[in-house]
Amino acid sequence: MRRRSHPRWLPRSFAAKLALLPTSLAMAACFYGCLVWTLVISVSASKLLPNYGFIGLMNYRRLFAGLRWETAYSNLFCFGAAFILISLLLGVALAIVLDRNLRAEGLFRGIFLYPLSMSFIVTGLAWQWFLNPTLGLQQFVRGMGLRHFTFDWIVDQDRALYAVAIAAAWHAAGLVMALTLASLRGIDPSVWSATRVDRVHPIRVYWHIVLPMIRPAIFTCIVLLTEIVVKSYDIMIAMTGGGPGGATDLPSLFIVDFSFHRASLGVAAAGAVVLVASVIAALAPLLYLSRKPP
Amino acid sequence: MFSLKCAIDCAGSVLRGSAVVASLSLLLFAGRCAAASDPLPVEVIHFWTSESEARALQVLAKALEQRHGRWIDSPIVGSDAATSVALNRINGGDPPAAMLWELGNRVTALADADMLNDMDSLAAQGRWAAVLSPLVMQHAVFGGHFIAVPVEIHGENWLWFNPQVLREAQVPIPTHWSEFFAVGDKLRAHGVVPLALGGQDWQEVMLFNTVMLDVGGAQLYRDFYIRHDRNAARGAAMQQALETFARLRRYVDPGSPGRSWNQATQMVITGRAAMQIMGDWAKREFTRAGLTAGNGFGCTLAPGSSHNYILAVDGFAFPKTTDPRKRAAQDLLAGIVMDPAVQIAFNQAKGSVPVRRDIAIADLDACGQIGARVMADPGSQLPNPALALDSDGEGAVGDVIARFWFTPAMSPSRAAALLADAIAYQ
Repeated sequence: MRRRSHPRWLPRSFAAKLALLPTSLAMAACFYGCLVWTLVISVSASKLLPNYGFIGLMNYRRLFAGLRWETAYSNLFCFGAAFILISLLLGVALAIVLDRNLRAEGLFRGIFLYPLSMSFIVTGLAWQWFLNPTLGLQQFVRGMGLRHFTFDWIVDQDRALYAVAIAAAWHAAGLVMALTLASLRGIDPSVWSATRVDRVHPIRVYWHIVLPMIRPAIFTCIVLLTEIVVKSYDIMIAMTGGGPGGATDLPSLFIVDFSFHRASLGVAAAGAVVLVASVIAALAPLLYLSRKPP
Repeated sequence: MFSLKCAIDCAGSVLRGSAVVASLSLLLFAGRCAAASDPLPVEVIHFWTSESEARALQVLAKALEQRHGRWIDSPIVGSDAATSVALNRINGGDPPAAMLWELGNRVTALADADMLNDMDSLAAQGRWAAVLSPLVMQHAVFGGHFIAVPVEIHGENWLWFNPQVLREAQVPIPTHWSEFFAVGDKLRAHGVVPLALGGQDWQEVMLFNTVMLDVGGAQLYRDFYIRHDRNAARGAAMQQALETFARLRRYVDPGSPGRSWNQATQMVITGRAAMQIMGDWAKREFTRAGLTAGNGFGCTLAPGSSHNYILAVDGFAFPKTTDPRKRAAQDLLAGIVMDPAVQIAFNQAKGSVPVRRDIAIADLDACGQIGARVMADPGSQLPNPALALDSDGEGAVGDVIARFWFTPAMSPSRAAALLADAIAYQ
């Protein structure tokens, strides 16, 4: 029997491309389409409803003139840096401890991974109660006799952002631990045998040999955590609502507030455009560095 | 056509029931379908989900039933969410018959986009212009048309207090904010939080508005909120109001940030705190705890604002529709809302003051009577931020006040300059 030959005028990967077409179209419409639409709205006179009258960069001027955007925007970086740093340190440390053949490892792994199964709303609410100076930890310790114990970060204008970062890191550290632990287990045992023969202290082995070997896993963690930072919204709503006095404002809160509550679609869209542009600017060098060498 | 739809509806109901009940209900529903005029369905999107709010809406639902209408409840938690659902429904071509809204910037924005039906003929019939106060009229009418039907008036400059706590600390009710500080010091020495405050921007603004009204008088309030006078916003009187406001920080407990208004009211009920500045929807928290005005809790107008009433007005707006049945449903509901008997029953359930000025004050509770008496003079009525500013400006003022409240390092003159910026686009 003669095999039907592939028509010459069709590219080899035609079937695969055809199968991907619906996805690509949906992606183009939903993702890039909305991106372009947001760009258009950001230079329009839209208030409560879309209005396509062109007003130039007016919305951007209002965005940067207002009190909130500046705080929200810089908060994104402070919160992001604190959150990623705490999550990484905590997660990697936990992974290393578990990697040292701890007894009941499965139990601890479960405990540390558990927060990840909770939504940010639940996490935020629980930590809000825990950190509230008149309800939670501070009140508890004072009740035990330490009358001057103070831990009121969540109501402190300068520290509230870091209180939220701690709560968020508690949530995400398990993820970092799981990813890092998997990589640690993939390390060739001969590395350990060799260093044992040379009597190198395990801490130095981790620092100089093992951690550099699992760099791809840590990089993956950073990308995942960055994504959490950019889309974080619910934990702020549950913990502080952006307060006290706007101290824990974030671009995402700003955008939702201006589109729905303040009926300023144009200014909200301008904020969204600036946010996307910054994310691209921040991630581009990272992605460039992480690409495979040619 | 209509009977076919009825038959389908009935069939659907039957399918949902169990087999035995089905045959019975088929008979019942067949009877109902046969009746020529079904009760007119009136679908209302609202965000009133608490107990007293639901009870107030029940008053409307009952009145509808008596006039051969049927209330179809579409509650959505949160006014922002309700707004976006209503907008989606309108854009999707299936608007609800009515939406409950706080009168002011949002409703006017919809009217501006030509999305609302007017109620002019009903208004002319019922002579609404004669029974509504000028300030309420001003916000129910847009471009010469009645675009909303007000249902109740809340006041935002109320002081709620726990009389027993004040008695034990032997302090009077402060009549001006300047007197408050001595009272507050004594209360603090007594181990009580003088002022229960929910730390959210709108609550801080509510507190600040009473201080502004006391220090700068109604003149400053009008210059700022109604005339959007940037010089008044920057001026000496405003700076002095901000300075007084800043001095209140000491009298609020550190757990305030993020607290909801009703948690703050609970502090007054339990005696942990002595006083709270809040709108008169707080009354229901007290009455639900088994207290009555004068016995267990007290109400009076906020220090220095006993001759003014800052109004928050709620009402219904009616989306544009071409469906004659929906239009009839809108007229039916609008008529009921403005009915004097319904106004009394509704506002008693809600704890607010009726929008009609021709209702006897004696029908209201003790606090409501204070409010109605002050409001009898139209010159005493002031708009709340939602009525006076667009939602952008309202939010911007909230940003400044909240930032100032939590930033002791910020000077009153800097905050006043920011307030002037906040109303710049009005």
